Amino acid sequence: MSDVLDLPDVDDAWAWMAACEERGWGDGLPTIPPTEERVAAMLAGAPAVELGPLPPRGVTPTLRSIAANAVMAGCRPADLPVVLAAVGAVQDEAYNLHGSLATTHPCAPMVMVSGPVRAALGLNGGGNCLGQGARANAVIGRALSLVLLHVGGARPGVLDRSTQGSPAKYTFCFAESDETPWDPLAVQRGFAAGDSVVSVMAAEPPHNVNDHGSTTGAEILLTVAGTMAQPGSNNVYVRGPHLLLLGPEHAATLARDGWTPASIRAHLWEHARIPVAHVSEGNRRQFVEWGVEPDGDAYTVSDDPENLHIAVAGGAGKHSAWIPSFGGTALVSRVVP
Amino acid sequence: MHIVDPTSGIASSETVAVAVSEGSRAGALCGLSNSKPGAHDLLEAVGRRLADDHGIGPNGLEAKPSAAVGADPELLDHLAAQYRLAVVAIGD
Repeated sequence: MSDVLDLPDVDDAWAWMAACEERGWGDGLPTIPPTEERVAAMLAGAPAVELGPLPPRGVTPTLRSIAANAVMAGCRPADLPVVLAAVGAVQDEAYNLHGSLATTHPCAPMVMVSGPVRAALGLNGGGNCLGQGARANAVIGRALSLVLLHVGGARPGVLDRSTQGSPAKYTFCFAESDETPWDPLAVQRGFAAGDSVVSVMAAEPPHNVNDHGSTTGAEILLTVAGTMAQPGSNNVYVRGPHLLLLGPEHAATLARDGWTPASIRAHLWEHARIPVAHVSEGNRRQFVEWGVEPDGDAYTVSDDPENLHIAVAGGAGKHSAWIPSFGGTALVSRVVP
Repeated sequence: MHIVDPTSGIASSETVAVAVSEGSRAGALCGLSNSKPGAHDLLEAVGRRLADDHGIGPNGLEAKPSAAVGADPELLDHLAAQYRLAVVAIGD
């Protein structure tokens, strides 16, 4: 069966936008029409990958359909291997793609990129890396979201049942910073320093950690712990992974004072606690149904210190970010083919 | 304009046999809860109304093991073999 559609009345950008809207395609922003010529150009030199069916619709994408979505998102051919790695990573069973797409939670497919491909594509891991402005960040994350929408069928209000959604559902892709005083996250997870790696997680948008006053690592971690200790995240009772994305200045202070990812993880496990009094009685009952009890007079923010992943990204300034997850997911890393 | 369909792919060809006979109403309907408390209550009420107002029943009530994951194939096969229709609730 042909995957080529003839749209005879679509001859300009406005008609293309209308055609997309009529078919439920796209994220509401303008897209580039995936003509056969553009898709062929996108696929020139593309690596061979094996992909399975994408929930919730259960259709297995082809390289051509992924390339069509990459064209729509604004990708260049060089971006496609990162998109393919991300699509493969979210298909890992531990990521729980079906649950994360169909949930009422606002999670989005976060993509963090490590290794040499960052510079080759112009991926931003510096100032405003979680915001707008870098084409590679914008289009790679957007291409993944469009694949999940179009092939996976996660259409808002239909099979994507998110109560409020989040801006991260448009695109959520950034690079690790080279200004890390420790091993990059990909290396912490066992990859070689020369590997280009994507790490995905069904994630909430970043929660800012503003700390301009602290001058020691211990003080900064007090602020981080307070930001993490909030009763409204899924991690409290669904558990699962979460990511601490330290700004380079906070990371430098921590490293100067002898902190490492391991010691930061252990310290936050002990100190990021949610007082029982901050959790309603109804929620406490719900937590029990999920097998979660307080540890003394407070709840932990996840079920294991190892569930907190630590990386560095951002530019100048005294900000970091805590990125909670859907809970029923995992941080999954894959080498870019 | 000719484009590559961005929704295209290879559809699953798997099918599941339906065990319930076409003429039978018994066991025809199932409530499938996402395992959240509100969904369970909602489906129980829907089942009672269908039985009282329309004589449909007995009705089953099933649930996913966790609200955070999709129904696994074994559960879906079980439902397909036992029921002809499932009402799904997300009643958070």
